[in-house]
Amino acid sequence: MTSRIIYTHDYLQQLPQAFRQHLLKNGLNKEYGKDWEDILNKEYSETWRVENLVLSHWKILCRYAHTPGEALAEFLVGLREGRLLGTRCSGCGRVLIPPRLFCEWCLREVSDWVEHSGEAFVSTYSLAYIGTDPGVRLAEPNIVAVLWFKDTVKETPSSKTVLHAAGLMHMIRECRPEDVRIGMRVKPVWRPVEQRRGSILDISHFKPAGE
Amino acid sequence: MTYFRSMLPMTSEEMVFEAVRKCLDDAGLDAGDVDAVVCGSAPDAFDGYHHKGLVAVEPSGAFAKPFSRVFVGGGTGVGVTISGWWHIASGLFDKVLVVAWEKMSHPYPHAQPLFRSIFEPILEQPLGPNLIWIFALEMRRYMERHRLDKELIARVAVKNKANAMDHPYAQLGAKITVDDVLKSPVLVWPVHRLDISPTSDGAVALLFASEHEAKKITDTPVWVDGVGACLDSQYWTNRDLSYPYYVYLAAQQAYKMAGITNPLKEIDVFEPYDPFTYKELHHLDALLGKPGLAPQLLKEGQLERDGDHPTSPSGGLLGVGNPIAAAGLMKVAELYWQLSGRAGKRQVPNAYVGVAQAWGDLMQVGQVVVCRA
Repeated sequence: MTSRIIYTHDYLQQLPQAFRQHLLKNGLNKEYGKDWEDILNKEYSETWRVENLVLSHWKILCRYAHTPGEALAEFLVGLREGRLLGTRCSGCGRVLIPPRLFCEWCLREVSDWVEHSGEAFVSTYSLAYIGTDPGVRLAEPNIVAVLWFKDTVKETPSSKTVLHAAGLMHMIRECRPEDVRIGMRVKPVWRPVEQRRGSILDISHFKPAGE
Repeated sequence: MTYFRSMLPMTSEEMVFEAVRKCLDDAGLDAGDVDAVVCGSAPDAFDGYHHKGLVAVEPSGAFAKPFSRVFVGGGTGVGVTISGWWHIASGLFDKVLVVAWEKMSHPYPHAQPLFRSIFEPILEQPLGPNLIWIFALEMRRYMERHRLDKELIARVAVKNKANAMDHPYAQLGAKITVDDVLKSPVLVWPVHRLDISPTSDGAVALLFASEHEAKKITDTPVWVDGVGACLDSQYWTNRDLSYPYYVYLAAQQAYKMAGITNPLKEIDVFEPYDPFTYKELHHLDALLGKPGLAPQLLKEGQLERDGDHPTSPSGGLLGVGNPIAAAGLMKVAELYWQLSGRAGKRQVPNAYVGVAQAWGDLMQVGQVVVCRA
């Protein structure tokens, strides 16, 4: 099986007839497997022209209205009021942001809500030179970061491995890309009240907190 | 297996058929000899229709047989292997066909918008993410923890694409230099274009057999010695991304079964999942159980095919291609070829024990299999 056994005479005999004929007629039994661009340059018989090969196009037109659920709804309402909310598990003591109504470590219900100041530091970051559509190149990169909130980090005492930290992914602005550092302190910049609509984007971005 | 290509002029059914037929021919069997079929493929969205697992029924000869589809995100390729092993180990079946495929060329013009939908819809999608973000974030954290530079990590691409030159089915075998990687366009820093594996079409099939049946089929069977699987929390912003602890746990399960205590010494071939350059090192760290060891081995040249710890001798996802589910199974197939001495130009000398690993979802799936000649 390691050798190139493809499309020996015997092998072709086993292929479905239509497929076999297609390969033989177009000389693809020798060429087959090269990249598609090469194949495009081949002369095709009428029935196997590329236009005929691509038989159907369709779009799936479907929109979703995701239910935020109890915990996230509370969180989003908090954002609209300019407050960053999380839950706290009474078992392991973790602050949970994004908030949830259960603790996955203790597998118990969580009902204590806490408000966090929003002060955070950069866990990791990257510079996105492409847009949401990867075909779009950005003149100035977006700074994308995972932010860990102050005083929520739980780590193993010996190896300093972080086991948990309340954290969100968000953008950093008001900072030059070359100045971002892991561990840098940041704080949220809220949108003006009238523009808030109960969305993660009610926090416009995070900016360096300065010293 | 079929060729891995950016676009194959075959349907999913035809690709599965080709891989299955070759596999059965190699074993000298026919569809009637197979007791059950396990298939694996990534999200339905790539094909644009639901329950696409069913396309594998006819071309794998699975009708009127127990048939199941395994899905654990990018880890599916090794996930199907583990499932195939369960089938045999349970004693219910003697011969099980395992097949994985992916046709990523269907979404038009690119599969990228589908990848984006893995982000959480309420807190993450509104930021307008694309898939590469999470890799860039993880890579940056990994570089920071071990003080790695881009030059070193780029050597993974150089190594794997060179290894793939000897793989007859490879999509992107090439001789490139570290400079080529660093000068390729920055997509999401620190990820450059050549740090990333391609989207691909392709299928791979393997036959699993019980001990007494395997000995009838071939003189050089390869045994599954240990399997392990582990999943981490999907709240990925609450985790430290610098070490894939879940891969470590999965590896430890597999090693315990296989009786391996010192993976670095006892394992001859490593096939960690390498959709991005740093990922190979990241995963190898966890397979070895020592954070930061893999980059050091790379620096010393020990991960080359003729080094002390050959890693991705196949060429990996960076070289051979990345048809998601099929890519993981390709790594297991490479173990089969290496350990049975049939890897041709890619053959690693004295290969008796190998480990393959796949990874997936939102940085959370670890699937590990240990094989022995």
